[in-house]
Amino acid sequence: MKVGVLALQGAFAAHVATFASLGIAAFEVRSAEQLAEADRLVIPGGESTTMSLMLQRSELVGPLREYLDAGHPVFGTCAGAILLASRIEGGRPDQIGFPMLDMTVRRNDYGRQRESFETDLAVTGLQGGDFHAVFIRAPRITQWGGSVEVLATIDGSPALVRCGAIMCSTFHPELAGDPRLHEMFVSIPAGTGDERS
Amino acid sequence: MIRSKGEAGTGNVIEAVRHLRSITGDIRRIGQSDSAELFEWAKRLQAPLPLVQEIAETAKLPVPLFCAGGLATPADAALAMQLGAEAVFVGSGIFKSADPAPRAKAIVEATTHFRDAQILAKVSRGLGAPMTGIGMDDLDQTFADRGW
Repeated sequence: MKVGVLALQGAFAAHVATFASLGIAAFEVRSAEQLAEADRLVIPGGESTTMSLMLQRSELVGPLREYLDAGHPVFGTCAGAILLASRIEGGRPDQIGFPMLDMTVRRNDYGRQRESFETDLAVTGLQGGDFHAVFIRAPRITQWGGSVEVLATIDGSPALVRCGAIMCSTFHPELAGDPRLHEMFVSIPAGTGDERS
Repeated sequence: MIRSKGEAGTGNVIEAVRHLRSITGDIRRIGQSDSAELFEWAKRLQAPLPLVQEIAETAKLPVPLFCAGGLATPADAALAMQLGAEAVFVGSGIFKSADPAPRAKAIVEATTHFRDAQILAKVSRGLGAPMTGIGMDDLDQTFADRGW
């Protein structure tokens, strides 16, 4: 299995380390050639407008759209979830999006850096108890369509969702020291993207 | 965060490299020390022992290591990243150059793509004059020796 982690900005190193704890040698993706090597991809947390800018400057917007359309499994965390949402509230007008999931996200909706928090979440289908979730200037999923399966919620808003081969969390699973969500992601069979409606 | 200090405001990358190497070199030496030597390190660094033990185990600092002081070109930024910095900070290297905006943009790209020689060559072109570096011999007092 070849797992790529988009490494233009943000928390990519912690994702690579989490996969390493599962015995999976994930690699950093900064170019179209490296993206083509990956059969699944993590879009990490960070700052979504910066990541959008770096995607443009690195000439990765087109290749990433094609990659997503090909139905490869993709895990978007925090800023990654913003990039994969069909509607972004509080974004920049020139911010690039990759509308894969029928949902609206509102940026920084749980508050600023000071209001970042950690909490335990019950996750549907996850063995071994609650998952310790780290929310850092997290986005909130405010609306979502029927195609989006909600796997965990916080205050009534989805925190972990899945639609076909795409998984998104509004928190940072790579900072928990707990690889179970990464394990869940690598267990998504390649080609599940066809289910997407 | 922990910042490698370099010599701020000089555009002198030699000092930046020297300080970064001294930090990453010590991290490697800590990693090779046995448990008794780690006590010695903790004493010398005036750091809590569990912190030193964690560094020995993970071979990295528990917080991001960022490099500042003396970086002036995209190549400097990439060099710092290749030497083990996890982030870079460039101040006068940008603002004392002939054309700050494109230089800032180029340094951001060089930091992201720090291992890609082709991108480094591309973004380094046409940036105008960099800031003029100041040699260490020309300084009366160095920030590095003064502390903060």
